[in-house]
Amino acid sequence: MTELLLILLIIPLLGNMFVLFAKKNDTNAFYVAIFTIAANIAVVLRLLPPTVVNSAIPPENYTYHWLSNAGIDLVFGADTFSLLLLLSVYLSLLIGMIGLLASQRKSKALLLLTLYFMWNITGFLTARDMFSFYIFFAGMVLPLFMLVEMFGSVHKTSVLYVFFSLGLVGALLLLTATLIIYRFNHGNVELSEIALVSIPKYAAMVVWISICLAFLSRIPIWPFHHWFAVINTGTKNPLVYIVVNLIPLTGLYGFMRFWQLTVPESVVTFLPIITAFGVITMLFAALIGISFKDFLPKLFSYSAVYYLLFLLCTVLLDAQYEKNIAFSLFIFLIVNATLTVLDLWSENACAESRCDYRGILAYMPRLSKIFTFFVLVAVGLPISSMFWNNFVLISALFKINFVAGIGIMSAITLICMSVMYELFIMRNLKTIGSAVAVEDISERQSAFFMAIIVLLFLSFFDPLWFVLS
Amino acid sequence: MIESLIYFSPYLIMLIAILILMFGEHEEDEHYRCFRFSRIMLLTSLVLAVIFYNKPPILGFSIGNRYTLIFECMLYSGSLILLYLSRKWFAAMHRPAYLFCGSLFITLLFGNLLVASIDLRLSSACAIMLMFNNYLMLRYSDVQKESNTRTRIYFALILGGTFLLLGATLYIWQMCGMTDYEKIRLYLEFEKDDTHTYITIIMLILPFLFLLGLAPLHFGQTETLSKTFLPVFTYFMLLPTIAVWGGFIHLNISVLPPIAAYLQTFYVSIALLSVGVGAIGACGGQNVYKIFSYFAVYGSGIILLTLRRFTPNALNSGFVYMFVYLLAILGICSCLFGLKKKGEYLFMLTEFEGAAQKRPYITAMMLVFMFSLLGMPPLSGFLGLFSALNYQALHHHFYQLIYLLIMMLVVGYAFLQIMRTLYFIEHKTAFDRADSGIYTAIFLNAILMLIIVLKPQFLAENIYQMLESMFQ
Repeated sequence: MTELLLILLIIPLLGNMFVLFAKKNDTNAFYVAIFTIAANIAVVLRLLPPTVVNSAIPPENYTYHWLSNAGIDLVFGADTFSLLLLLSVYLSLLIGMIGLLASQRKSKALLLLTLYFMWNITGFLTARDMFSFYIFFAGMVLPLFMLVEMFGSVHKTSVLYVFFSLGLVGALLLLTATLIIYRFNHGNVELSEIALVSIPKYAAMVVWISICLAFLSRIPIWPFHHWFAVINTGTKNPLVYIVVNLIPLTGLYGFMRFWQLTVPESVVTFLPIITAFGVITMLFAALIGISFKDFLPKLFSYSAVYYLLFLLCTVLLDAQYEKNIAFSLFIFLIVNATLTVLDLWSENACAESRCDYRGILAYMPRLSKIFTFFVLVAVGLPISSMFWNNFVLISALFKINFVAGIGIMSAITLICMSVMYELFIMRNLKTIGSAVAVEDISERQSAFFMAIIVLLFLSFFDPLWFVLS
Repeated sequence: MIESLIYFSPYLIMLIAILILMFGEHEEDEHYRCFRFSRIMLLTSLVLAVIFYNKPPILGFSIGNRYTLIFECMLYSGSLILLYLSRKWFAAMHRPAYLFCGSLFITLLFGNLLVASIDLRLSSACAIMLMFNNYLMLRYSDVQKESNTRTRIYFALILGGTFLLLGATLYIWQMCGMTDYEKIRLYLEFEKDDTHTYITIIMLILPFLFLLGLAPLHFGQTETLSKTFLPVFTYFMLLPTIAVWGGFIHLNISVLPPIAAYLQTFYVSIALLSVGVGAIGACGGQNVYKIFSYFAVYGSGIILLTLRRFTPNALNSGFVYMFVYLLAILGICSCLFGLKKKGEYLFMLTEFEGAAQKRPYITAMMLVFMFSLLGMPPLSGFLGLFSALNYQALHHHFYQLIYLLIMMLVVGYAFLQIMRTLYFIEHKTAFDRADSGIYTAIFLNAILMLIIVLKPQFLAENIYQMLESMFQ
């Protein structure tokens, strides 16, 4: 099975190579990229069953002897949690690919950078040691920045500079922590053994603060939220939007991997501050979401609120809730990606038909049905496993900190109402001035999203129904 | 005698090449013949240098071991690549290449001798020759006499360096009676607390620091290089750097250990200053050569900071950084060779606007090399940066570690400006078609980088064992 992990890492690189040498102004590269993602999904589905069946047994790791004399072996492994996240990331990217317009599909640079990002996030989610974790964490900075700069339609240079600097600072902070841990362990250390490394008190403080700041810099929490908002709202390319929306996942995953590994008491004292910042940012994001007039900015607010919810769950709750977070994140990422693509399609249809965006869904019955389903899943109605898992997570949060729970619930309620209202506006035929012909999505596209609907709906009964035991 | 001559043959070949190229009668348009001749002489010299790498001391002046072999191979490879990249430009611009190729051989000859030298007189002579050869290169590249003032300042600095070197060598000769490294080391063992000796050693070191372009002696190089043409710029970035580092490390390991503790503070100050000046200077430039010249100051600062103790571990870390740094610089220069307009190489940042739209592969590789220079994983530069930073962490130099990380952020800003120009501004310049040789050079460089990323043992273990021969 360990060889499959290696294959998982090699496939995106091979895909990159084929895309690089593909013909210009042709869709060959696009199909190669689709095939690459599909191949990785197949490998993940092959890797998942043993981890689910033998969840009590630690998964087998693949070790690459990178720099033996310096004691640096790169270790890769995958448990149910990371595989589920990988699956959702791949599905999100696949949805983003499907959402590309015909002209966008011919951009080799877009596909290359996306596959390179995919390779990095695969390495990041399967990394089991400090070094590989850092390498792939920092490796994401370049493709992210290039994607945003080249295809993100963000015109303010200062915003892009700060965005790049944030990525670089985050990477440098994690590098500082990695070097200090390496210094005291006299070699690389597996993530599961970090707690065993004996580090003096002040050095430990530096390590944990660096790690926390590195991960927080990728989550839309105050004061980092502004840059994410500007980048997200300026992006009109579905694939780039989805990739940018995956940045907080990397920060969140970092917390998941580190926080559970006995964080020192000195750092735990900062927990109320993180909680307060998290809740306040959630409330602000929800309120700002209400003020937006379009669906996509509202979707950004929605994802910010949910990412912060998962962050608070990670830092406040025990490790036993890890699977609930994973199941909920799995659905959340897919729903987010799908809604992005569907909204951008509807916006595009509006632009082509020169009709009003308000009420557009009334003219696109296929898209409307799919859109409605995904919005209902997003707001947490009992039609996917997100309902159960969010229920468990929020009730646990209430149990631990009632005041924070109230704040979190208020923010979720506000943002869900806001999203629902936007759905109502988009479906409301009365707002359209005169009847126009708007092209609906094709049957093939509709079938693709119906398949995802089935995947989500069946997860309501068993979150891992697609895993063959 | 014959045996000595055979061992001396690589140097003799270079000497013959210099004489033919500099003093022979040539037609002005014989570019290809000139380059072919240089290539053949260079390859012959390289083969002989590799065969006789472990030569016994020649006339008591120089030695050969695996350490010298590494630096010699780097010098030869750098020269070959430089010849390969520049030949078409000389032909296209109808510029005589004899002086350029001759200067290259002078650097090779005196650079190799400097690395292998075990006598202070020879080392000083080589360093002086390298300085004057650098000046010759700058004069040669300054056809329009645009930077007369700058080159004059450079010349004044060279004269200063020459006097310092001569003064220090004569003083040591007088006090010690001998100039071979071993005897000077013994002398220093007894006189290590003497202020005069310390000042003499500083006088000896300063010209080397000037040749390496370290702050505060950097300005001669950074300012003058901004007006040169690309082959000369590439020459400055690679060859003197390799030769002088080789000689400087040799000097420090063989001669200066008795006063290493005193020198460490001096080296750290110079290194930290260079890192700061290099990083900040790189941000202020609109001239690409100037930006990378300042980056060279920054890079040299990191190397010196890592090497400061000149222990085996320091040498290993410093060498790994130096190697990946030179590889990335070579990659960037190769990319710059591929971006021409009407046969002329570009150097102002504004001239590169939107290059990615016209030359996507070259600019993409340039980006990769720049990120490698910055030390971003998973590129090979990370290995170098890790070696350098890890060395600071291992010796509890946490403040210096943080300083380096902050300066890395500053350099990141400078690279961001280049990146922005290449990718995010509408293209205005019509670039010439890059020849396949440029693509081949870039491809080979990328392959070497990939090998280093996947199998760093080659650099961190195998080469380390070779470098260790200096300590035996």
